[in-house]
Amino acid sequence: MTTTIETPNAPTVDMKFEIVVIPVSDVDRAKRFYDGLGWRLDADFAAGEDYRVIQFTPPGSACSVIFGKNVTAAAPGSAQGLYLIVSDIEAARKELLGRGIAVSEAFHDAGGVYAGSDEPYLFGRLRVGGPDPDRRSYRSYASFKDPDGNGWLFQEVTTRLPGRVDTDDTTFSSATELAAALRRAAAAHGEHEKRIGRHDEDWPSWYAEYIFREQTGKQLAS
Amino acid sequence: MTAATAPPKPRRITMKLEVIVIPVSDIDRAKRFYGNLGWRLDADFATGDDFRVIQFTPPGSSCSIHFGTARTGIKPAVPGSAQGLYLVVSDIEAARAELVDRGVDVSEVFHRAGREGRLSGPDPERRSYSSFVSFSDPDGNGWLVQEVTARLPGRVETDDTSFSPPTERATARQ
Repeated sequence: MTTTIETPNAPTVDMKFEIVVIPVSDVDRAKRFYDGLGWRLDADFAAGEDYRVIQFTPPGSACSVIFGKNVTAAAPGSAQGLYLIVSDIEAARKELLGRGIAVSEAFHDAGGVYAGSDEPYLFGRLRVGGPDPDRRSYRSYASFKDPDGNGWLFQEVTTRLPGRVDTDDTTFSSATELAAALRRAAAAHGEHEKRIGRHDEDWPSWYAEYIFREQTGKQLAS
Repeated sequence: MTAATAPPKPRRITMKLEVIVIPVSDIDRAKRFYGNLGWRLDADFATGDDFRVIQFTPPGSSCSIHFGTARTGIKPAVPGSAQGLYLVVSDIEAARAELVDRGVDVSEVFHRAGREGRLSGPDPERRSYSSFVSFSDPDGNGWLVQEVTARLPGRVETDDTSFSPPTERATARQ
């Protein structure tokens, strides 16, 4: 597997991909479902009997979904391959289960074998139960569907690949997310102290460096 | 130290919508198209002959697209069937000029008035969320560019905690 990073003819105007229209058959049922997920209801706008548009945004997300009446000609349930990035796949599953939403077991790919009848995802069609054994970033998944069958995938991303972030800013949208990053840094720091064979007095600097690197796609300190 | 305060109830799990798969028929043609738009090519993964996935990210965007080898399982998505993909820009005319410069067949700027469909030109009062252009990729997947200047209340997460690393930048300059 190779990774290529290129930025040909750098653009001058930002174009932020912020909305995806998903096709649903029953607008109110879909509204209850996405509200039940705890997503932010941004708008529910109607004009007359035959036009309605509803916008929801997942927690911490810069991209939203729209559905409604006469907002798309696509067949209900045909949206597939909508990836929700989470920092802890099991915590994300637990959250959905706690809300009474059916979600698959965590799964990962088997490496190089792309066959089978499962719904496809980034690594193909074969799903092996459980998170990635090494818990590598980008490698653990879980899936769920809305009442129309539109397909969502959770993907666990902890460390970003180089070149996948535009700025050197590190942003946490909740205390939970920051705490999880601190725990990962603490675990890595434990290994660091084992290697140097002593207590590291300046652990805050080490933690800070680790978290910045992890979030901005730079080589991790070790 | 005074008695411990209960920690604030943790907010629900962050789940960022970051990737949408769009169906294309000719991967290399689509790669040229999105590359020519100036979007960031994040990945071109291939394993054997029957599996390939490409990721592009529009400039300044937190959400990306994937396309690749047809592997959509039982009900394959039809190439070009992705519609209603919104790109938000702060200046619709500048965005259109950039797309035209890149040789993209982009619509005139339009706005809507009630049920009358598309009307030519930007929104007369240039209201936020009201001026558009559209374009399609070679398979017909449909993009809408929308001008957003002022955000509606409640549309932005206000409790983010961000850090910028001056030391990183200093190091990078060395």
